Amino acid sequence: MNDDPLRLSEGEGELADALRAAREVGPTEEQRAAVAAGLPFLVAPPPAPGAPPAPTASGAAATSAYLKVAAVLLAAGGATIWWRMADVGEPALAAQETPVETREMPEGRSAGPAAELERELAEPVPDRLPERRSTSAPSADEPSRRSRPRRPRSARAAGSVVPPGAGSAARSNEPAEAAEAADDTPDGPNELELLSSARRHLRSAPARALSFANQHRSAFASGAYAEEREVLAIDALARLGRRAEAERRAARFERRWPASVHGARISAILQP
Amino acid sequence: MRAIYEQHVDHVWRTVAFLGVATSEVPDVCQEVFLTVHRKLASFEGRSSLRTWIYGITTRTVAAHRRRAYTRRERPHAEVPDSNVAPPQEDHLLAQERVRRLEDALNKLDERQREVFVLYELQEMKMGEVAAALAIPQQTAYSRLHAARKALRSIFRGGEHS
Repeated sequence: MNDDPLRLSEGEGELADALRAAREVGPTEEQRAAVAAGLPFLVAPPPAPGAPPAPTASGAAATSAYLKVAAVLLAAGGATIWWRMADVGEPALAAQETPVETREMPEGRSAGPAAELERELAEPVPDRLPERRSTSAPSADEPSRRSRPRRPRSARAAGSVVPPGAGSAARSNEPAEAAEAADDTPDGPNELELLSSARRHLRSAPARALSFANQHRSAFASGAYAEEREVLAIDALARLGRRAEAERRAARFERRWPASVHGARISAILQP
Repeated sequence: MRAIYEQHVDHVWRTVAFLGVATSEVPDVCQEVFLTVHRKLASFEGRSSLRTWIYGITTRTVAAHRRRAYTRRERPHAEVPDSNVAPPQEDHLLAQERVRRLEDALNKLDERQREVFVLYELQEMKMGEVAAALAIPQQTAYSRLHAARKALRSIFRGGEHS
């Protein structure tokens, strides 16, 4: 029972031609990498010392496992929420900043959406989906090629990138004080607040964005979000026309994090 | 989550681009969509398909972006999607020109009509899915689609004679 009208693209004429051409529009590899670079949950998990390599299970199984890890980490508390940086424009969701729904997520809770997801993912992709993969986009399925172990940025974010059992090992590689600073700074803005402010002002007031990024550098030089801070700073400098400074900062970034997932983003920013 | 990203990123990108977000801002808006998807995944109840749910988030994120762009007095859609336009056996420039023309025409549509049109005609969703994604009655979705088609046909006819 499908009363849907025939799609225009199935007809003839200029409009139909245009619609068919439009369906071929998609991101370039570079654009895909730029999107992926801003998604912390796509960052490959760090190789924890002594731990087995990153899981190579199917995405569906991994998703299920990661949801559980997210629940465990959230239950442990102390995690700040990455999405605050995203300024997603859904004020009604602000209440979720307190992770009420997952604070005591029972084991079976994740089975509902996770099982649904597994079904969805097991089904064939509904439309044409390119096989292509970004050469520079991070891959959670590959063994990590990252320069250093990374502390999970947030419980939710970490839930998608940390293999079960590897969370505590990954965490132990980051300076404890940086982790504390990220989450529990009692006075002044914390890491995420500074970066969120920088990100919000990046387009409209890059000088202010740079100022927030530099404040972050002063307060959290080796913080959990140092890489993201540098990307924002480089972007702001480029927008301000301070290209030489942007390039110097990018060079320092490259030396410090030679295999960062943000490399592609920085290249795109500095593209003449 | 990575699997979800891989499955949907191209579709989300296309939707964002044809809903009128400036090319330079499409990556950021796509990021917002997937950050929201990631954040809300645990509360996804399966009342619609995952695809419908993601497109609902996509259209709301674009609408929020448009409001912010308006606040900043920026033109939200001044550019044609500068993306992979490479249909096989078709001249690249011709395809680009067709996409450009469609984009220009879409820019003249009412935003609500545009959402329905893009999801149905470009993303090939069923009308039931479109209505669910946009949280509107199906009859409303049909009305908007009808209005969008009428307007676009008129624009394209006008262009052909000019």
